[in-house]
Amino acid sequence: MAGKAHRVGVTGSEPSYIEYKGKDGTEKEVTPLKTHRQAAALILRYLRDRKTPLNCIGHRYVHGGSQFATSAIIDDDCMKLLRRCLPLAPIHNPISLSVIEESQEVFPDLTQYVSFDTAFHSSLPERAYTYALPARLRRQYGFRKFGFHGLSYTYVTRKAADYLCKPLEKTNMVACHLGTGGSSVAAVEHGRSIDTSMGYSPLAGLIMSTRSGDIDPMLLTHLMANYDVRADDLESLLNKKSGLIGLSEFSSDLRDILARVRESEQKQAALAFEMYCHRLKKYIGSYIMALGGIHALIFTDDIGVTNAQVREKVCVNLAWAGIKFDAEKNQAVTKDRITVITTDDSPVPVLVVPTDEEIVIVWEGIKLLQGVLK
Amino acid sequence: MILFLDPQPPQVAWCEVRKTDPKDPVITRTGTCAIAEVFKQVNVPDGIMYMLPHGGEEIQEPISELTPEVLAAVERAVPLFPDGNGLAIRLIREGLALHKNLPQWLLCDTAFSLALPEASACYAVPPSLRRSETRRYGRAGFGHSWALHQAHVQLPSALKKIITINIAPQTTIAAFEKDQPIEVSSGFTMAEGMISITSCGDIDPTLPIHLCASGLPVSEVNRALGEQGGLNAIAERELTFRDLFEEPGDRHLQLAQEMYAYQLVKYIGSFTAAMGGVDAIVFFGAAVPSVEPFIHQITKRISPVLPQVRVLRFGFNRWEAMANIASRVFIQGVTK
Repeated sequence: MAGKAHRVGVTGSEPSYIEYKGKDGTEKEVTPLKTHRQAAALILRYLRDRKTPLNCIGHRYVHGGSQFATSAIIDDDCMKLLRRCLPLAPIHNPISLSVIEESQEVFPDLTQYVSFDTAFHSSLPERAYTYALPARLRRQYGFRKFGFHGLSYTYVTRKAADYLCKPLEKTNMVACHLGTGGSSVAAVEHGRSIDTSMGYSPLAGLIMSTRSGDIDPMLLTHLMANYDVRADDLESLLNKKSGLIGLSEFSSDLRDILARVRESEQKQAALAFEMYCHRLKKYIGSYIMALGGIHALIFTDDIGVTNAQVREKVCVNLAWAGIKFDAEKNQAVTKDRITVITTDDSPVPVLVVPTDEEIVIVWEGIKLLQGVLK
Repeated sequence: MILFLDPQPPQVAWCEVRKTDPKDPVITRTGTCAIAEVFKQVNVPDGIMYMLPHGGEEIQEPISELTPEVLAAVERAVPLFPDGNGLAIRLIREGLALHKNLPQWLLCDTAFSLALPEASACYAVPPSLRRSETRRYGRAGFGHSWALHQAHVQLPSALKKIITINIAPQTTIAAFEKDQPIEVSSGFTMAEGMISITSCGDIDPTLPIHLCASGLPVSEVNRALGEQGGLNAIAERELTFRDLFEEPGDRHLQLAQEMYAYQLVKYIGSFTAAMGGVDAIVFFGAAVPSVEPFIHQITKRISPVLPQVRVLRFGFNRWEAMANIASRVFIQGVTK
């Protein structure tokens, strides 16, 4: 079975609810869900009350920092390290930790483990993860590139290699995880990440719904010094009011922006779409070169799978990299299977691969718990 | 004689160009000194040219006559780059006071990049963070234009898409399509772009914000980004530009060299993608003739993806390029 708690902690006209999908159909429980811990408590008790057989519980933890290069079984030491990682993702990590604590209360005897969005990028070489700041600052603040969306990259690169009948460890790929919230690109060499566009924080890299992506670091100090902008305001503006919403000045949703571009002479909307694709295209080019050529380019997550215009705008001018785009196939992409959107004779195929991060947590658990589970 | 003045904080570099055959300008003397010494060291000129390092949106043309309006625009541009532009404005004021009746011209190293497409020049920030000056600017514009010209001379066949790379302590890269600038590596400041000897290059924008939020003064954060960062910070010692191309003696220098080469390769890929291909890659700089193994290494890394691309190399003497401009402006009256 599977399920999801919706609208947790959201105040609005629609109520929050939990969805349980089993082989007998879907149950929907409408109930106030103030926190993620509360939602987890209801789900865990639902499973316990129905005596659902469980071997272990896997948790997602966004930011494992330098502490975790792989998934880990949760014990006291692990909990200490997880707590140490809290400030690295001040919104996501505390939520995950609270869910872990709730799970330990409800199922004190069950093995539990964590998988991280950052761990996939623990293979980054030093030349890619090092920031050229004074060594004492790098050490004092722990500044280095971490990268995110690792579970998704694990899934889509493995699926793409299978689809192409190529061994993952002999395949070079660039993968674009384009979400409605965060987006990033990764350069994956033989199944290992060698570079990625997000950095120490998720702010770096691509233009996203509300994040600026890359920006001159000294432009920020210029704004603070000359225009009296405060550091915490700047952080919030660059994370929540920039990117597509900052450029278009009316929506953070690419679909709204594209509708506006089609309708009329919306200069700001057109610029937002143009810049979104332009930045993405530059990262793809840069990683193709970093890898010395690729065997496949992958698009995934919400925007990557559902937005044909983004894919078209990015892929039409990639002939120099061996990509022959097929506009017709691009229109035929669906959310439930892998679709190739290049011509049959394209030297490098482009694949749209719907992602599945939960299943990767399961894979990780199976790998981790071999021998541990009874 | 035409005097050319180039602010290089904290000093001023100057050169004297003999006003003779416009096709063969002769540099008679060059020097570098403190600003107070300049007009004592040089001979009495027939005309003066000043380099403005950062013209922002204020100076629209690479070459302009130093009228009162242009002078006012230079004054408005000073806060964009207080060190370099501050020196420039002091030089201009002194030159105008000393030589009121001489023809005087302003060169601007960023002006070429005002023609960048909006999508390349803009930052994705909200209106509340936008100011008239907050956009990307290319640097070393006269150098990149010179390299572009040399590429057309050497390969008169139709080169449409060209990437020019200035191999220098502050390496800059530009991409041109049909001679129009499409991309530049530097940003609002030189901190963005390629890693340099002392500045950080592209980094997560969260880092300077966290440093400021944790209580470091802005001036100190600027020093970390622009003066104490870069290849020196990676090598953990003071490097000369030559060190980048020598056998690395230790792990830290090796990492610095790897980062420099890696970022260069990534920029070539990124700008190739921006143009949808590339016909020629042009390396230029004073050091270029002596770093052939390095250029060969870069060429080898990009050749699996770009087997057809033409790679050109030009030794570049900034003074010679400037002397050419001086003779064009003062003798032939050409300013475009």
